[in-house]
Amino acid sequence: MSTTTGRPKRKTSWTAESRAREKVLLARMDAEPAESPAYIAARDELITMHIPLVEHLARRFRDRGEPHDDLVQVGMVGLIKAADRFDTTRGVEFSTYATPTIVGEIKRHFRDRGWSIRVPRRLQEMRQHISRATAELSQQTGHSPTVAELAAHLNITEEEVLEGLESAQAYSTLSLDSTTSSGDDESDSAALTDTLGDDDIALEGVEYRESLKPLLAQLSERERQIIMMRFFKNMTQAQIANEVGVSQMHVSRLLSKALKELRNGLTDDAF
Amino acid sequence: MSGSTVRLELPASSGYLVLARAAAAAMCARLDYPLDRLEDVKLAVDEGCTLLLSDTNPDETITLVLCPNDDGQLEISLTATTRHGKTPKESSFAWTVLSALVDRVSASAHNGRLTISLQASRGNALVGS
Repeated sequence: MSTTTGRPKRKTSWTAESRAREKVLLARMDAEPAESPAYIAARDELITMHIPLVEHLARRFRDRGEPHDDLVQVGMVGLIKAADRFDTTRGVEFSTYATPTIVGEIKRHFRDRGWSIRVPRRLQEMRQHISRATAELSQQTGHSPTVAELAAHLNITEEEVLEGLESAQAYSTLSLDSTTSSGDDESDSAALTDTLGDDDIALEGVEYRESLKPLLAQLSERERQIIMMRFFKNMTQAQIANEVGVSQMHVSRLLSKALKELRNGLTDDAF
Repeated sequence: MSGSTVRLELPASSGYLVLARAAAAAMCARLDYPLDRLEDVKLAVDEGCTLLLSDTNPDETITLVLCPNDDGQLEISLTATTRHGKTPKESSFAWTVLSALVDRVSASAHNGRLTISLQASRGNALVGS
């Protein structure tokens, strides 16, 4: 099941007409006192006109693990800031001015999420090599490989393996369900649909299950399945990988991502 | 404590968890743990630290001790001064997670200091069901 996120093929039809309209709006914003209804109406329209620009810019950051909608949302903050700060006397187009502000907000969002915008290419490749080697070695030996085995197999140092593993983890703090186009050769396993009933059984006797259930429901099918397998059925990561048909590294990433989401919802339940 | 004990003091902030994970991972690699156990231990350290962080003031520190015992198991302790100064509920989600990730979990609280102790063997679960 490869769900490529649909990329609407919309051409920005930035006609002379809309350009003229933009001028009118900017002139009005210049003339009217801020907070006046006329100013606000013009500002709103200017912002609305440029939503496609935000969407366009947000798409430039696709496949980096953040949901498109989130990027659009933070990009909108940038657009609004730009609308409020734009100075018509500068003689630049509004979109020219707004673009860096929007991109700045999106980048900041990535930084805030603890992930720099550019995963060094070397690490990305390393992550994939390790993932592949882990699968191969598990297949051959019947057990999850050690760091030393991986290092020997890949002809790299143990430190590099650890570095690659950690980069996979950092990557996971963002994305995991959006890996479809990131070059992972892990195919989604199809039949993971009938899990809710199972969840109920596995959660029997868990005191906090009423608070846990809605949170589990918010996870993706696969994350929920993996959480249940690992924490309530005590399967190992390798067993889960085998059963679900994804790599063990991917299981590990899904687990840590799903855990983070659950933690956010279950604040202070521990004390 | 044996001669190969590692002790790490971390500011009580989630930004430093990466160091705790890295230290745990490196220790597991030294002990030749298989990858899935290594990832479990990392996740457990992460979970344990996060549990402490949820009850710790930001100017505190978390002490992480990694100590391979004579049986070749890794003993991990996470200690911080917490607001409640008591042990987490064993019925909590975090506890469930920790229990699933490592072989043994325990907690103790003395004078406002909470210690979470984890013990992780290298495991030998075979791939396959």
